[in-house]
Amino acid sequence: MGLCRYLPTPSDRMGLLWSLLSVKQSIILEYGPAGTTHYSMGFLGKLGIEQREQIFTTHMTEDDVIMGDVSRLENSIIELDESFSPKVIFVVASSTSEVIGTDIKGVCKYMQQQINAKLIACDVGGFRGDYSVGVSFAYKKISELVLPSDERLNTFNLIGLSVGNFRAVSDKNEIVSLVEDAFNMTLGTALCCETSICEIEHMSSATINLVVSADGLQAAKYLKQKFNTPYVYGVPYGYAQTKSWLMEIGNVLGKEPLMPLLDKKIMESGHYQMYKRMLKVSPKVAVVGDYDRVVGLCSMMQSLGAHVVMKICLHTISMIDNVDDEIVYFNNESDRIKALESLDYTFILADEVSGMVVNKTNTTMCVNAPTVYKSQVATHMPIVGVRGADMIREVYDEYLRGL
Amino acid sequence: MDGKKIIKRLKRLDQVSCIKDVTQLTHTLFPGSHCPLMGAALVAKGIRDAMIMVIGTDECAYYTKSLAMSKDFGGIKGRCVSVIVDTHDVTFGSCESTELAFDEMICEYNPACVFLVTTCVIEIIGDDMDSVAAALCDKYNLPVMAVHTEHFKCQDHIPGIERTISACFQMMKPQQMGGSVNILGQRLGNFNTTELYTVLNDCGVEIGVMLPSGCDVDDIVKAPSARVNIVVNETALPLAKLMQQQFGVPYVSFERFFDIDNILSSYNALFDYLQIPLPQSVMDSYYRVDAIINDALDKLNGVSYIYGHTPFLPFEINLFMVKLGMKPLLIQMARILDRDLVWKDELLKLANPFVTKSANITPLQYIYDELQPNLYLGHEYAARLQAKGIALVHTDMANSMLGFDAAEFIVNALVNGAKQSIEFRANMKGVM
Repeated sequence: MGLCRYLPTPSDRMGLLWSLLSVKQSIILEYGPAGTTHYSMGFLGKLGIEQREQIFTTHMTEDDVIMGDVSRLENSIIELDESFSPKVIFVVASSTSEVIGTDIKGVCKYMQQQINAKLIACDVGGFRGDYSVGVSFAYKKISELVLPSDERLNTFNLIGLSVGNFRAVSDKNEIVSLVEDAFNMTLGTALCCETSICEIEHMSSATINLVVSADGLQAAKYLKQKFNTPYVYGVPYGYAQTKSWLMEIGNVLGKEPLMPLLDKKIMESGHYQMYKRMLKVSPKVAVVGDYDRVVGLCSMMQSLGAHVVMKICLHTISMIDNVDDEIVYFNNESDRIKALESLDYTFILADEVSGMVVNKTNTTMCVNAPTVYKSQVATHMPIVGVRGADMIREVYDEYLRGL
Repeated sequence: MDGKKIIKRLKRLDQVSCIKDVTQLTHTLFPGSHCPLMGAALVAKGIRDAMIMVIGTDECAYYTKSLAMSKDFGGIKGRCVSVIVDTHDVTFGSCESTELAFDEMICEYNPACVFLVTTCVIEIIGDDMDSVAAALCDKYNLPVMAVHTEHFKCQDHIPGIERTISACFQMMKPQQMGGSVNILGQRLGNFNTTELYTVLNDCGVEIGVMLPSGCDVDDIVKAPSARVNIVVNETALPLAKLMQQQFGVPYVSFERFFDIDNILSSYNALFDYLQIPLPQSVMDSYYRVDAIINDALDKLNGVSYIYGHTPFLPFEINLFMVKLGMKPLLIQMARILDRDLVWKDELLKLANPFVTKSANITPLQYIYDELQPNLYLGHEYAARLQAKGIALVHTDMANSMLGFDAAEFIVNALVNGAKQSIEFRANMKGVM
């Protein structure tokens, strides 16, 4: 992998943790050295995730590592079950327990008979891949908690909305508002953002599942197979794309979406195509981020007349079906830096670190995690939907004026 | 959680002789203690031209880099880099990956020294980073020091601090003895604002290296030229002992004591080494603070407290408080060192409180109602405590004090806290 100068790509375990922490009525028990849990607090806190009475560590000593003694884990499971009566305890491995080969699944299996909470073993200790693997694992495991339902409600679920990404809560609010306005439907629950075990258990009563990232596809397919809940995969970036996304949902629901504002927005942004012909220098765009964000934002920027010169995904793409060939993932950080340093006079939609690496001739806008100095207070400033497109347009206009 | 049950499991001070004897409040911990890797990063931060290279998982490296994005580290492009180990490295070893990454780092950065910091996984698979560091040291003619920070072998971040400070010994070279004093172990606060600094400055004593807070590699190389090392924190004791053994530089322990006789002993020892008469200002401070303490006795007599996690010597400060007439209900701690035993034995003659390991906030909430202390010392949520009639004694300001000012500060803070607790309880009765 070479030298890592900036922030490494978050691991599978980190993705798993931020996803599971969004699920109330559950507890996470980490089987590993305590320092990692304490160290993660700042990072998870920055994502706006509450941790108190929701995540615990067993700690591990040299004796546990050498002898493979799991009594510390067993006692901790019993204690949490008795003390907090959670519906679910997620038992999460650490890199230490993974390297010494602790059989987390086995422990959960034999402990289950004396525990009221459902035990879910998460043997994702940091070596399976990056965060995309961890969040995908979380969605799949959580979807297995869904119970059958006799009724279909006028609700929809969001699957694949990761609180680890930039502006996740704002994105959720925007999508909820779009779907409510278009189809008069309300949100069932969102995996994994501000959800609970109760809401998850009732997911099968929803009319449709909306999958907003490739990481959520496996869970959506499972729910389709198990409960026959249809799903639509896609993310509404840009005006035209938001319209087609709503149309696709409408096709599945057999309803015509109401979207008067979108047609107006599409009309008023039609002039961007002219810039390609009017400007001496063609507007160039580079997008760096999570796979679906890269796909969506590239499509949006093309519809605004920009020429997309670079598409970088920040996580591995080997697990994604029908992957866009132009999107690259750099395993080595120095290759990514070289690619970013080659950009000039480009409008760059990226994470905050990439925005710091590029030279000053470029115009940058933070649309993805990781962030360095930025915080996320607002819950009404999405990257998706109409509001997201409006915000991106404002910065794009600045870029165009400087060309 | 059942507070009564938790308390039932706890041991009292007379039942423990080492940290292994001390039980946790519960099996599970939140947030748990800090990691020694973090300790190593905190030391590297203070050495301005030092680089830290973390060898570990993405997660260990991510959190350390997040911590090291401050201005002191040079921001996001600053002095903290990492080598991420994957399954290939776990199977075949990470030494080669480390050496390749090191070569890249040398091409892009210009460090005066490098701390090669291992993590839990590296220590489990047994990669010999000491040999890697030695080879890189020869290859680049640069001090490269391996620092081992596996958390499963220690309680918290302190060993990481201690090992990184001790690793600096490798950079030191024999020097002609001068008249300066080194400040070893100063990490929290600014030494230049302490009482000790003022006293030394008034006597014209030159300050040598301040390790690890605010020095560079050149200062460390010349550290053996000092007349005496002043150890202001236990984490620097191993280094001071090494320097005494190798370079003949004596040391004085001048930690953040609160008992004014301990503080005076430190001053006396220091000025003996400096061969300067003890300044009158020191004795003036002694008598002034002694009077403040005597005034506080009435206000603190019988005031009960829980002692939380602070960077002080737990038995020294608790003995001091008990001598003021206060009543310790529970003491949280991370270690019991041999040199603590003298204070522990003294404390036991006067009180026998419950003891537990620190850094476990969640179950603490459930024992406040059972123990009903007046005060809590350490980090907690003040509003949450207030609702239970407990005043939080903020001790952080004492972190940047060395001398009688620390004792004065803590006595005033305790008196204020005791007063607040009375008010809180009166308000609670009023509400009821």
